[in-house]
Amino acid sequence: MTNHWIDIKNSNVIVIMGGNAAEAHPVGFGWVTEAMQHNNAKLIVVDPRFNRSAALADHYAPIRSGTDIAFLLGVIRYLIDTKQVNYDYVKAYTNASYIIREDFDFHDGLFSGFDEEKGAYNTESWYYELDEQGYAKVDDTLQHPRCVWNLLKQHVERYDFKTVSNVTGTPIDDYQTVCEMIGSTHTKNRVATFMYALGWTHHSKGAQNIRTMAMVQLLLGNIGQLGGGVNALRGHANVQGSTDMGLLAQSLPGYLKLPSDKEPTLEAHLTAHTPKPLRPGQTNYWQNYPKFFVSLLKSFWGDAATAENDFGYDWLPKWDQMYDFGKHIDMMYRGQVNGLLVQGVNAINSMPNRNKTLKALSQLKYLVVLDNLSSETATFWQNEPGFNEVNTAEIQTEVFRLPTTCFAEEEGSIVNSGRWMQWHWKGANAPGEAMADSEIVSGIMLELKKLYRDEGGVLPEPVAAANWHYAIEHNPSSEELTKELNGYDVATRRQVSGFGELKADGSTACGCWLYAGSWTEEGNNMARRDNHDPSGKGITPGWTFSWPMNRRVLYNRASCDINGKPWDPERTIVEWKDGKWHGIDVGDFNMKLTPQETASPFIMQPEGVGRLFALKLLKEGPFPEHYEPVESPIGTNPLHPKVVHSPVLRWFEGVRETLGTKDEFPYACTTYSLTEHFNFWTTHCRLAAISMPETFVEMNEVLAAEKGIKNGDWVKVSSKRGHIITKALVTKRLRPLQVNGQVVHTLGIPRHGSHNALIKKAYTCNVLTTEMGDANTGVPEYKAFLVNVEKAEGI
Amino acid sequence: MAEQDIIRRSGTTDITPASQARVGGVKKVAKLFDATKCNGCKACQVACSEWNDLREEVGEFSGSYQNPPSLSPECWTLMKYNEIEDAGKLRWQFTHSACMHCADPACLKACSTAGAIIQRANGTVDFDSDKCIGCGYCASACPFDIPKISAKDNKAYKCTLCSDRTAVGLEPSCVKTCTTGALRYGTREDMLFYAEKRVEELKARGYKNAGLYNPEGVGGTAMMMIFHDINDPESYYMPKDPQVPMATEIRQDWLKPLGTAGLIATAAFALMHRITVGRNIVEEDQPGYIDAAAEKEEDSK
Amino acid sequence: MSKQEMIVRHKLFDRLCHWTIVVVGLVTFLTGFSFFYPSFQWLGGIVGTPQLAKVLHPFFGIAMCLLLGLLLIRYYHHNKWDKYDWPWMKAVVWVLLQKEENIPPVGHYNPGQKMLFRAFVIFVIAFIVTGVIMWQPYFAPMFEASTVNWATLIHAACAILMLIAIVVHFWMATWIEGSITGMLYGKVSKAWARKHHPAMLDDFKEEEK
Repeated sequence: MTNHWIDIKNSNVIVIMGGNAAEAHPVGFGWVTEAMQHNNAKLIVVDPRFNRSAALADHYAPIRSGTDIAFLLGVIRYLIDTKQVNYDYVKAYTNASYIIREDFDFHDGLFSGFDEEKGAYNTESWYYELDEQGYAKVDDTLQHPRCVWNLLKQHVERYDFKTVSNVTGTPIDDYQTVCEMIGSTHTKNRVATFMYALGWTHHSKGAQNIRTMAMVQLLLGNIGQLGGGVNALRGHANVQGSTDMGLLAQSLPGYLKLPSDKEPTLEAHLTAHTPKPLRPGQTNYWQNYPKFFVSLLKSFWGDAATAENDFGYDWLPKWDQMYDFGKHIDMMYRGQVNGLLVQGVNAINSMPNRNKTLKALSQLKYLVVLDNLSSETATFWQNEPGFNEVNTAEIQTEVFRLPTTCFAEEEGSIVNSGRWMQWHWKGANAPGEAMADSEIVSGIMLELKKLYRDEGGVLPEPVAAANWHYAIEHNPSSEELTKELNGYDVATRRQVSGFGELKADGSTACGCWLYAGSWTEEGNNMARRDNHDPSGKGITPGWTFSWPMNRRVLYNRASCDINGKPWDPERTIVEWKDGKWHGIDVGDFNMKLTPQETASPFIMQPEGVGRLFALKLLKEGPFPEHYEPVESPIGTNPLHPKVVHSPVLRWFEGVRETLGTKDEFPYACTTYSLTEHFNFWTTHCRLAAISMPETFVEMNEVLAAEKGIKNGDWVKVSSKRGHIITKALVTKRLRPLQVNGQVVHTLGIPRHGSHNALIKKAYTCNVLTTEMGDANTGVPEYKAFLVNVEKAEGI
Repeated sequence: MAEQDIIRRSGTTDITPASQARVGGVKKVAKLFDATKCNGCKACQVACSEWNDLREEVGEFSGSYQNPPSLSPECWTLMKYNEIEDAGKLRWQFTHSACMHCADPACLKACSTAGAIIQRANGTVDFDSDKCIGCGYCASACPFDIPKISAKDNKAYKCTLCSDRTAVGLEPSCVKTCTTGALRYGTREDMLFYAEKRVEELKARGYKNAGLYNPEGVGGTAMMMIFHDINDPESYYMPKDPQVPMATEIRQDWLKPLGTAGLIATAAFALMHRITVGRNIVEEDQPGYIDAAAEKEEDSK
Repeated sequence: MSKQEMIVRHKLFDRLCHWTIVVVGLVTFLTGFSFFYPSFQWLGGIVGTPQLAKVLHPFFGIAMCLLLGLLLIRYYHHNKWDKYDWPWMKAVVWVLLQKEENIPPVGHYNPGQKMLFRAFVIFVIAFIVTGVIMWQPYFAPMFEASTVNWATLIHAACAILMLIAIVVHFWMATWIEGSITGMLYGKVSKAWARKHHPAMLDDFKEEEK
């Protein structure tokens, strides 16, 4: 979240789209009802299903799963057409006035530079026109035909109400109402927030879904404001923390990059990732990349990391392609992987295309499962007729189960969606032989060190030199680990008080630069529990620690105009008054400078403004474009039939044969979580199992009547990849949609099946899903695929 | 939970309340469920089971999000779900279903076991399991179908409004856990004040029929509900006009005195008859009886 | 003719049945009484605790009703309405006042007893039906709450009425001396029969033929 949970209470319009906050984030959703009651906020829910969030919405609009980009580009067109744009904001704080290269082009669903053979773009043309000094050319009048503003207008021109409705299935009336409600926040005294989660990321163009919404927010001037922002709702406790710590396959902690094999030296890597300012006088915060990166290497290898050896840069793995979990499963499937450590995930139930995952695990020599529950992953080799049909005798995988503690059995920090690092204390001792993950991993590390020492081996340094100095070597405490993440001065061992103190010369070490300030010489700032809110706006500086630098609202310089005057005095976060900056929050800029010097609020960009045109950052293109899900229920793209789905998808070998067509599998299907359960974990929890004892498939009344299916009947749902047998919930909450001259029915399946827990034995929905996913992140398209459904015998 | 707090006991003539209750020192409390703010998350249901150590069996899917299927001795709070269409717009309604804590509780009226059901000075209605015999009169009398008899120990169970929490100044566990502020707890006066304001707000937001469910037929309830449409409580699975049932009133108010009178009258009549009419004996069967006719016969011989 | 010639009025099986009903019925009624009258809740203590009384009451009740039903079936032929009954009914006041010269003859049972019989038939059916409906925790949950509630009322009302009937039965049994010994030992004297149920003797004569 650019903002934080409490801040939602400051919103005027709340859009829940690509998520289901009431269902999946019921506690945080309390701030939505707070805003509705005490700020007279309006709630809009856009979702294929009338879900628990929709139950409280002022307006609900149905949408065909996987068409969010069309929906939002239509909103952008509407905003521009009706002039419901915060022009002052757009001119000053976005790249609307920037001029794009002449060779940039878009037509028939493809941007310039597409290489059909590679299925990828040459992104050269997706860039600003630069002047002699290397600065981007701008036209403040927005008249230039190739300025972003005009390109954007041109790009969204196709997305009129009729086209959008024809693609998304959203009735025009509903759509118009949504547009009007969102548009109402273009004024300076009204702000909208978007709350999204996996409903946007679980698509073959997930990153673009989110980006389109960010563009809407920029046009409305809603980013950097109280009650606004771009708000990802993180589900798993500490999924935000794990992302910060480099969860993605090509990331290092603090959103630093894992080097590719095109960056053989530290210098090459730093050059590639340290941007030059694209406009004069920019903060260009990533210019500090070398400080963060070298400090990270120092924290990895301590004294062994020296300027002479590039601080151990050579010991980092370099990638030639993205080795995410999906790629690994594919490699296992082909017998290219020997062993797998599974930690914090129930892979066999979570990974798409369960049957493939099952075969993949069966090819391993060994599998180590670190879990506090007896997960289906650890028992994948056990035959369970119907649910997990395997020939145990043929599986040679040796499985080790290492019981871990659960979060309540250890102390440490959990980062919530609002970036608050909240320290928590141990509530109970772990049962039996369970050990904290950190202790288990330390044990493995120490054993590896010993083996390298005793037996030698290829490239021992990354392990042998690993900086490992803890009071109890095999069991580092949470305190020691988080202090390392905060960073310290190598010579004096003093904790740094912020990332401003980090240096690129190896004199500081820092495990995650964003976390600098969380545990300083003053102590553990994450353990602070002062909920004093002096402004009444939900800014509580004494409550835990919010990265970066205890800042509660990111880009908060954008809450004022270029002269430092808040757009809306009721929403003052920072303000230039009497020749000084004042504020209720830590400014996201250098507060010693004047308003004019700091009038580029998006300091992480080398041009200091929000990007309506994303340059080369996303693989699908600099503007979002509607592409169908990989499995489309209409089988075509009404906007450009030759480019149906994203042209830059990653195709694993043989995956084409596992994709269904609408003739064979005529219904759209989506998956989701229910409030009653947390993934598969709580299927082991008695009270959760009581409150939702079995999974089901939701379908609309029309389809059910056509198929002769009654509420509670057993049905068989099949995709090209497999089938499940489950019970039907026939509901009004799903409805048939008119799309491109046909009716699209959507089915919905909760993801909480298990054959190995306290709930009634049930199939998991990942039997049906495909591993095709987002080209940027590899996240699979769990939310939109094709199935068929028919009545079945019960199980 | 001092006995002094009790203002009404089942199976007992009206008792003189303790001074604190008599002079109004104990304020009436209320729980307010705002259906227009509820997201149906079941946190209240689970918190209830947590606090009261209730564990219903793990059941199965039966066509609804509602699980377990009904209130039971092991489930005192249950979320209910209904899909209705109002002016062409779909509404998914959630009802926090638990004891209503009536001012005139039909359960207490129906109960003939002295002290098994009590009403506290704060207006809450509580069951005393030690005294309960499990006859089920409360279960059949309740117009809201709340009390359930345990097959394990033959006793009636229902929501206590967490009397063990409220007695020490805490809110009920369901209120404590509510994620959206749909559940509130406080003095009845405060809740009525809040509800009035909330209903006005809802009307301003377009819910013209919004209103407070606080049924008069049972004297008002210490759990009140705010509905989108007060004219259609049935769509929330709540009775339109709940009353203490006629059968309960007849049994407790009429049958008891009349039956007692009938019994005593019959017995009294029998006794009077015996005394006045005297013995009814077959004289021939009495020892020493001499049959007059036989005697005559003897004589004639 | 011997002055104390005895004839059989109740067979051994029926007597055993009757006295079992008395014992079982006593438990049923006393426990039932304890549920109806809070002040008599201590009566539940005859089987241990009020809770146990609640558990056992239905089982005793079922036993009582089954045995009573059996007895009623066995006595059905004695309780058909016949030619003697109307005249006797008209003279019922003389019966109570013991003016025997005004009392027309009746058979094995007089109309008062026959009415009791009919009442018992109704009560047995009513008890079983309403008792099952209200039986917690086994059957009551299967019915609508209001059905159970009405069943409870009918059950209680029938119990009161039956109790009144039993008072009358007890009153008559103790007033008409010889009746209790008849039910205990089975036999009544011919004189007793001649006095209270003269037409019953006709049955015997017919049997003797």
